[in-house]
Amino acid sequence: MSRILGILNLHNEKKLGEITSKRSLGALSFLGRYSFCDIPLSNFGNSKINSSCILVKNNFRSIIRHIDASQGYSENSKLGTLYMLYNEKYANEEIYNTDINNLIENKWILEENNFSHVVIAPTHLIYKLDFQEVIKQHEALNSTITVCYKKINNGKKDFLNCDSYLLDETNKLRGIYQNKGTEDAINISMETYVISTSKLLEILEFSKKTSQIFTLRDILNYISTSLDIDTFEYKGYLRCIENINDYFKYSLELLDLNILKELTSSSWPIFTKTHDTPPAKYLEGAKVKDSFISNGAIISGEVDHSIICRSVKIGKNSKIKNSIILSDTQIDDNVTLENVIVDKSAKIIYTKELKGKFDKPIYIKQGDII
Amino acid sequence: MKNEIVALVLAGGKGTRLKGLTKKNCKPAVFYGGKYRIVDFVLSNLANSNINKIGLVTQYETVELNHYTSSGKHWGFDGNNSSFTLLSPRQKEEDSSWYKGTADAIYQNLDFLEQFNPEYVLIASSDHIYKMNYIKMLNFLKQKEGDVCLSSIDVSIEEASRFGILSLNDNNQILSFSEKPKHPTSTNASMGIYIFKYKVLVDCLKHDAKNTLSSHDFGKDIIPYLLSKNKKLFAFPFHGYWKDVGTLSSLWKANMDLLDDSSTLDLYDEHSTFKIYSEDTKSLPQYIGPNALVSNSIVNQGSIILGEVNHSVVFNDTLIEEGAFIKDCVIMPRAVIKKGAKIYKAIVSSDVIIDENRIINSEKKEVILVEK
Repeated sequence: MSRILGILNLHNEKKLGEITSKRSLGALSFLGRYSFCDIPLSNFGNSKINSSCILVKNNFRSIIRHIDASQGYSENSKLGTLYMLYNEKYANEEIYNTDINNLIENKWILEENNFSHVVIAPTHLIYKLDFQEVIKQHEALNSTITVCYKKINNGKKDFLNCDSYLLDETNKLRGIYQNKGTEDAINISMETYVISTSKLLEILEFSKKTSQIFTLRDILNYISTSLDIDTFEYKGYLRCIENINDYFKYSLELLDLNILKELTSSSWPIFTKTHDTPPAKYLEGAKVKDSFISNGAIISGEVDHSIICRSVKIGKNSKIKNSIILSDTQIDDNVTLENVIVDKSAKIIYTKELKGKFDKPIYIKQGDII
Repeated sequence: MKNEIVALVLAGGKGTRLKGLTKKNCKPAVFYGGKYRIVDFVLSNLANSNINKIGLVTQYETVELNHYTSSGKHWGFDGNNSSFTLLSPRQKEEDSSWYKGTADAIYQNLDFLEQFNPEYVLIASSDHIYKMNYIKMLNFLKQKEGDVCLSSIDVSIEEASRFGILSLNDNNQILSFSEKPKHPTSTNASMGIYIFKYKVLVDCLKHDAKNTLSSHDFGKDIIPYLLSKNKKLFAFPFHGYWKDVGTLSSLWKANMDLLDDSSTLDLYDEHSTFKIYSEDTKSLPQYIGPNALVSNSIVNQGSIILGEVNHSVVFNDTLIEEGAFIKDCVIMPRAVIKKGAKIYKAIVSSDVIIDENRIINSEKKEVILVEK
C-alpha cells in the first residue's frame, strides 16, 4: 500500500461568531464528547492513513489543547504521526495566512517523507468517506489530482455560499464557483483532494510565481481550465457548518440515529481525547428524552432533544429543550432553557428562563455567570 | 538505580464466589461501576500516589486482564521512568510451579524486585473498591520507624470474623493478628495492603519458602511469623469507603452504593485530584430515546436507552429497547435487553441478550446473575 499523508486543512474553516472567537471550529465541541477536527482525523485513521498533519490557521491554543497525539487517530502509534503545521511568518497577516503559504513554509513534510499522495480534508464540511476508495480511483485513472464532490438537487436552499464545481462531459473539473442559490442541481465541493506529492510540490512552486495570496482552491480553479483534474463523486452524508445556526441545526439533527449512522458507527468510530470522566449520573426526578448525554454529567432535571456535554450539571426542576450545553457548565435548579447554546464552564444561576428560536438560538458565552 | 518504593499488585485470584463472572475471567478484570474494572481502583490509587514501578501478579485466566492492562497506559504507567510488568508464573531454569499462595507469588518474583533495589515494597490485593493515597501510609511507617505497615479499617463486630483482625497498642503497633477469628477481640480489620521494608520482606519470604508446613499466605503465615520474631508492625488507620467485591451480592451492593447519595465513594471528584482511570471505549455519547425514562442511575457512553432504567448501573454500549424495564440492576458492557423484558435485582453479564418479554427475578429476594 502506498504511503499517504492526511492533511487536515483548517485554513478555510468558517467563523461562527463569538463561539469561535477564541477557538478554531476544529476545537469546537461536537455531539457532546468530540471536537470537529476529530471527524476528518478519524476519517484518516479509519481509512488506514497513519500519518497526518493539521494546517492550523489561528487559535493554535484551542487545537493544541484538544489534540492528544499520544493517543492518536492511527492504528499503529509508531507508524502514526500527527504534526501541527503553522505559518508563523504570516500568523498575523490574514491575507497571506493561506493554506498554500502554510504548506510552503512547512514543505519539509512533503520533501523529507516518502509519501506518494496526500489527502487534504477540511473540518467545516463533515462527512464519512473511506479515502482509500478515492485513492483507488485516483491510481486507476492515473490521475495527478482528484477532487471530491457531491451532487445535490436543492442548491437554491442548501449549501449556500459553498463552492461548487463546474464539470465537463467527461467529469473533469473546469471551474470552481460559489453557490449563490441560483440553481438546484449543482456539484458541491467537499474541499477534499487527493494529490500526488510531486504534483503538490509543483503546485506550491507554481503558486509562488503566480500569486502570493492564492489559496489551494484558487489555484485548482486557475489550473482547471488547462489541466485535467479528475473528480470523485461522493453520495453519502454531507453537511457544511457555515454559521452558528448550522452548528445548532446539524448537531441536533444527529439525534436521529438513522442520520447519525451515516456519519459514524461502531465500524467507523470517531476517535477523541479521553478525559477520564465517570459515567453520567441520573438522579431522582431526572427526565431525559431524545438526547445525547456525555460522561461526567449529573442530571436532576428534564432534558429533551438536546446535547449535554461532559461534566455538565443540571439542577432540579430545570427544563432543557432543543439546546446544546457545552462541557463543565452548571445549570442551577428551576431553570428553563429552550433553543439555547451554553458555552463551556458557564453558570446559569440567576436567569431562570431563556428561550431562543430554533432558527436563531441564544448563545451564552464561555465562563459567563448569568 | 535505587527506587524508594515498588508496588506488587496481587491479581491472580479466581474469585470463585463471583460464579459465572469469573468463568473465563479473573476477579480483578470483572466490571464495576458502569465504566470500570475492579483492578482500576488499586492501579489508579498507585498512579494518584505517584508510585509508578509496578508488577501485576497474575495467574488465573490471565488473557483478558493482560490484554486490558497491557502496558499500563490507562493509568499512565507508560510514562518516563515508569515500569509496568505483568508477572505470571513462568518456567525457570531450576523448576517451575504455579503460585502456591500470595507469599509464594511474591517469593517467585524476588528477582523482579531485585532489579529495582527498593527501600520499600507495597503489596496490595486488587479485590477492593476504595480510594487511597499510599504515600500517606508510607510516611506513617517511616514516622513510626517500623518494619511493616498494614492498612486497617474499623469494621463492625458482626463482620469482624470475616477479616484478619489486628489488636493494637496505643501507638498503633500490632500486638497480634488473627485471620478470620470466631470470637474477634477487636474491630481493626486488615485491608490486605502491606508496605514492607524491602530487606524484611526478602528475609521472611525466603524463610517461608523453606517451611513445608506453610500455606504461603501473607495473612495466615507471614504476618504471624513476623510478630513472633518481634518485628515492628504498625496499623495505618484508613477512613473512607472500602468494599470487598468478592461475592455476587457484595459486587451488586457496591454498584448500588454509587447510586446512594450518602455513600462516601465519590467518582465525580470535582477538582480532578483523584480520578479513577479506566479504558475509554471508542463509543458515541449515550443516547436516551424519546420514550425512555432514566432515574437514580448511572449510564456509560455508547449505550442506547429506549426503555425504562430505574436505580441501576448501565455499562457502555448496551441497548435497552423500548418497553424494556430494569430496576436495581447492573447491566454489563454490550448487553441487549429486548422489548418488554423486565429485570429486577440482577447482574446481567457482558454481551448477554435478554429475549423479548422475558421476566427475570420478579421475586427480588436474592441478587441473581444472568449469564450467556
